[in-house]
Amino acid sequence: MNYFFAFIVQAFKEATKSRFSFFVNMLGKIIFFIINFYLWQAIFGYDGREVINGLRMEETINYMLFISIMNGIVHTHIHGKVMMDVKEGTIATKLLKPLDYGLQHLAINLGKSSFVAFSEIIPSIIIAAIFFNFRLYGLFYFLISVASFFFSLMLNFFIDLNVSLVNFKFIDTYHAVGFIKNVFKNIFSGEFFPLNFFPQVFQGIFKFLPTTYMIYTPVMIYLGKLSATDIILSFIIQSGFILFFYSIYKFFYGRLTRSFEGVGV
Amino acid sequence: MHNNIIEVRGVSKSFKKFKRGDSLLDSLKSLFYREFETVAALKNVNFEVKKGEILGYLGPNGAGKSTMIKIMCGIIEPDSGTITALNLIPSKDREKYVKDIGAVFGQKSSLWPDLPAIDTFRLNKEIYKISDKDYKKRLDELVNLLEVKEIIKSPVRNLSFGERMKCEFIASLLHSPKILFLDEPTVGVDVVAKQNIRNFIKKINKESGVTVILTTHDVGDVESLCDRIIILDKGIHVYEGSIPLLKKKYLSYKELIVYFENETKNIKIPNCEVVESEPFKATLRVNISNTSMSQAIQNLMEKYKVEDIDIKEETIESIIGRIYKSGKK
Repeated sequence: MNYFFAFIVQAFKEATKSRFSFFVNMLGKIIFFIINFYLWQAIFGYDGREVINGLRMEETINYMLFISIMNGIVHTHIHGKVMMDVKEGTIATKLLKPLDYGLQHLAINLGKSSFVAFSEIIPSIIIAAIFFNFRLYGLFYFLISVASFFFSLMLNFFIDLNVSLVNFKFIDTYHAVGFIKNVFKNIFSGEFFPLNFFPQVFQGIFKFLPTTYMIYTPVMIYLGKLSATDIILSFIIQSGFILFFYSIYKFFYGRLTRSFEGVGV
Repeated sequence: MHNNIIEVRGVSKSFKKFKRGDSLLDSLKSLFYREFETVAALKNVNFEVKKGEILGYLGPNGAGKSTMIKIMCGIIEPDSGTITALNLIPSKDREKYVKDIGAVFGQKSSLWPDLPAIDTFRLNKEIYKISDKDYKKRLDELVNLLEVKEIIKSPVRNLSFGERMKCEFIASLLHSPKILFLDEPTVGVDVVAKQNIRNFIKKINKESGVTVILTTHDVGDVESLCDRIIILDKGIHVYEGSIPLLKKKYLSYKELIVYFENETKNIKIPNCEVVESEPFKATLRVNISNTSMSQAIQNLMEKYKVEDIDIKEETIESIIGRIYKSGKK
């Protein structure tokens, strides 16, 4: 077995230990379903419009429900993990392994996300379908959007990994940097609301931002809103951004660790 | 490099430390203006480690031991000087170099806390590309030596500290490293487990020929394990040599515990200091740099009626403590 896959299996096994977090996550999802279900009904019902910025009410609600179903997979904890590694000195145990530091964390993240995918997606879909009229817009679109979410996870991970490198220089900026990063990501990834709701000029700019391809693009694939060409193009752009952020990580990581002073072993 | 497995030449390392007062005003001031000071952790350190030896790397807190260990493990780079280990430069060839080293840090676990230790061992098997046959053989050997057959199947979180340390040893030795770094391996471990761990270190050193570099505050570890010790203080080596040589060089007194036939008071012997005195017993500290033990005993016997005498040497702990305090070479 390849070491990378072994790390994924190990992290998956570890994730199975926390049964309680499964129930808490499911409860969180249900609350999110309820809020979005009634919020978007109220927004659309306010002036009786059937379509807002190209999305019908039912599509908008499903957009938000699908995000809630899938966002556990895309989520990463890397920023906090790197901060702890640097602050507590646990980075020493990772650097003693003959492996790249970032890739060790990526494998662990993939293992945890695999567990979330395995344990939460199907129950979430069932609850959303029974109580909140969630539906698929075609099995093909659904499967392709799940694949796109996998690329989103990689993209999100490498963006967070780069941001987390700040910890090597400015350990006390963890919360501030994390807050700005999350606000930026939540708004410009389409997690708070669909990016169609922004003015046209902004939507043009969003095409060049990596955040667009983290949530908005996979959900638009799920809704069947992208053509085959756009879907292929979105995967190419996601892959390009992943490579770009991985290269940036490799470039800065070597330099930062060379000046790293560490903490008592 | 001959017989040396590690060569350290002129290594220095300093850290920038934020200087801050302890008042509320100082804290507020630090928001706008910060002063930094440079702390030299290592100053022109030179030494070598021979293949197969057990080296004790000692020093008081803040002496620079951990910094040196991190440099030797390839985790951080020195500011100046060179270090060669296994014919590699640890920080530059880290991924290649760490394949042949193992490390146990008493304060930092390499085990996955929520999973049984056996899961970490299996992961290490993949990381170090150990064949199924070698893995099974090595694991069986280590498990039997440390007597942890049942323990390795329980989640690490549920193990005692001593049990966890034994599992840390297995995790660090599965890939048969050539150098083993041990940072406080017996800290917080009970007497029996401590003895087991010491015996284990001796055995693997003897049988596998693994070179061991040990940092510890436990003099028992040093006395029972180390062929040679280096004492570091404020980033400078203040002693390098064997324990017998340390005694020869630094032993300044021996103690005589004297049992008298009669009640004896006001004991006075040249070059001896009375440390403790009871009616029929006294402890005398003999300054051996000024007089010999035989002379001191002769003086004692001539003046007092002595029933029995015990001789006690200054402990290694006390000698090392004196070296720490004086920082002398």
